[in-house]
Amino acid sequence: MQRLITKQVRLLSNSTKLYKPVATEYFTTGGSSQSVWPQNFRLPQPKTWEESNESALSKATKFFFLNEIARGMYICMEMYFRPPYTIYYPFEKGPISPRFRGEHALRRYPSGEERCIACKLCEAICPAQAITIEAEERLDGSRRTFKYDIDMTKCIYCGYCQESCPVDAIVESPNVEYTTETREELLYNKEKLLENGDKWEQELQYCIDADAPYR
Amino acid sequence: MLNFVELLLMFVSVLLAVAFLTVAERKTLGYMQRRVGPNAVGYYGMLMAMADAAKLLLKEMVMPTHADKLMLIMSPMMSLMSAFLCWSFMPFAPGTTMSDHSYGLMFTLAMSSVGVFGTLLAGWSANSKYSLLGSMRSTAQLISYELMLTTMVLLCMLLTGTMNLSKYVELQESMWMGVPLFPMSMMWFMGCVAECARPPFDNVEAESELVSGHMTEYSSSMFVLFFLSEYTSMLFLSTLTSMLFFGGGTGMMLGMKANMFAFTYMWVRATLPRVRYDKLMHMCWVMFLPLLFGLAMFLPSLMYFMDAMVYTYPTM
Amino acid sequence: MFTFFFYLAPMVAVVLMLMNYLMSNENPYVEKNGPFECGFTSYHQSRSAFNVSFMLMAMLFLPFDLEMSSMLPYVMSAYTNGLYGLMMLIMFLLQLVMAFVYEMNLGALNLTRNYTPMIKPLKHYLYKK
Repeated sequence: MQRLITKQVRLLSNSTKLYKPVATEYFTTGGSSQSVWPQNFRLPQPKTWEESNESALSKATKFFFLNEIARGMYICMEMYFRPPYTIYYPFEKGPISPRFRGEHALRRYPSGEERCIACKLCEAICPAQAITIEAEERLDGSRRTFKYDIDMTKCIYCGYCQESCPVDAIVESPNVEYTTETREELLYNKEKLLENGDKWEQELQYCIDADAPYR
Repeated sequence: MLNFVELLLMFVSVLLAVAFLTVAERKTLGYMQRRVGPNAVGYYGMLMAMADAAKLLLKEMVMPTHADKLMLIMSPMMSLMSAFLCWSFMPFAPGTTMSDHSYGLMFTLAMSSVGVFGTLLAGWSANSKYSLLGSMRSTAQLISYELMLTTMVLLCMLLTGTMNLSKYVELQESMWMGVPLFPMSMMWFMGCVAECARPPFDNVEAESELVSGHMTEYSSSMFVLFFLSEYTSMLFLSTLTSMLFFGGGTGMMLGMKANMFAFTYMWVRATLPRVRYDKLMHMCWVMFLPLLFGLAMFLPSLMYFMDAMVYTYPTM
Repeated sequence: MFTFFFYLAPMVAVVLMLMNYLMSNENPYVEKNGPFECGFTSYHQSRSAFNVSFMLMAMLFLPFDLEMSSMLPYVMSAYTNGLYGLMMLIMFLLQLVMAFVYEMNLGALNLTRNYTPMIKPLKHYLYKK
């Protein structure tokens, strides 16, 4: 007598030891229970005529009285009476984080000495090649730049220069309202950047203090 | 003399209504999408239409290369003209039209048929593949739905026995014609939305596919004319809907009912995605038209057997 | 009165165009005036052939529109024509409806046309063995 050997295929999906996330039939979240899709997210597949036990009258009513369209229109009507999310920009502004990358600035030490030592790391890492640096020994022997230009029209505001600077000289302030009327004014040179730094030092210090634990 | 003042008054009020309809549409769509529409120009953005018109009139008139200049300029003018001429028979009170004519409704239908020419010639004259494709699709859509609208207007004329649009108000004092003809009024409204080429039936300007269809190569004032003609015909068809089926009253009442239908146009635009083109044509020819032919046989028979035929006086 | 309005409506259009012509500046160059081709330069194939189903729609529209126009006198004078007129209308519409049903089953209203003719299966349905 032959014994039938049945082998059950062991799949990940039908193993009992695996803890499945709540309310999913398949792995959308890779095992975590956060950001799981809500219940009834997907509409059930419409039933074929063999398995649906809807009467012809109700199907006809839905066809002629446009049930789903009416439901959609009701939802739009609800939304019409709810308050809009718009904020009125120049008068009301949205919240921004301390890591926000805006206009560039060159910082100084508290003693007044400029931080930049012309290491040219920022020029090397800039993806848009927007920074141009030329350096020379200063009269008192220290290593400083005499030309430090950032072309704000090339800059992509990625923040790599800020990340790469070893002395935290070049930073991005949270300012975005620096519009000009001519294109030439947007090609910043060293004076402009330093001046920016002096103007924004307080704000920059706050941002750096807020972000320092994570850098 | 006062005749001309009356005519000018009605015409100017139609123009202003159309201008403010454009702003109303943007604001309505905005609120339905939980944002505000234009709100900076006048108080609450009311003067946006004037700002739009001023901006468009100052833009350069781009003449596409190798385009038929005459047809290019004539087609938006034809579109606008037919849209405005339809309005001439609309009574704002019984007898208060721009021309009180006993065959007004037929003329209205004729003018909407002529409006298709604007679309057709516009796509052809601009020298671009996309314009041509857009205009072909839009012409086919417009003429198919026009067939539907004509049939339904004919059935309404059967019930009232007159083509004089002013009499429809008096005849609907006892009961709106939309009560017995409610399914037909729903079909009529869908046909109107398709006739104006509005979303969800807007394959004409399906921006993701055809980059504004037959209006692609049109720049400034020609675009203004197309734009105005679309909103004029939208407002006209909503007024006609309220007049034919929902007992359009006089003055303010007609205005409020027409407003409700114009609001429904925008409501439907905010709700529904675009219908595929062949499903659109299928809907007209295979779903609506057989039903309408059936109704065209059924309604006169029903009226004969109910002994309800309307006796019309041959008047002028 | 109507003639006055008939002249007024195109006048509005002409005034708008004229204002635009007077107030605009003109700066034509090839990239701007050329036909729209999503960024490519066109090969001027703009007047090429289009799908025949659009032409078919237009041609099919014609008899049905004429049918509606032929129905116009009846709807205005239904009472005067009594039963005889009603019968005439019904027969007229019935003939057109039969033609319409035939056309629908033939697949002429399909926008995506497959070129297999449908006449053979229809004959099979009509003359069932």
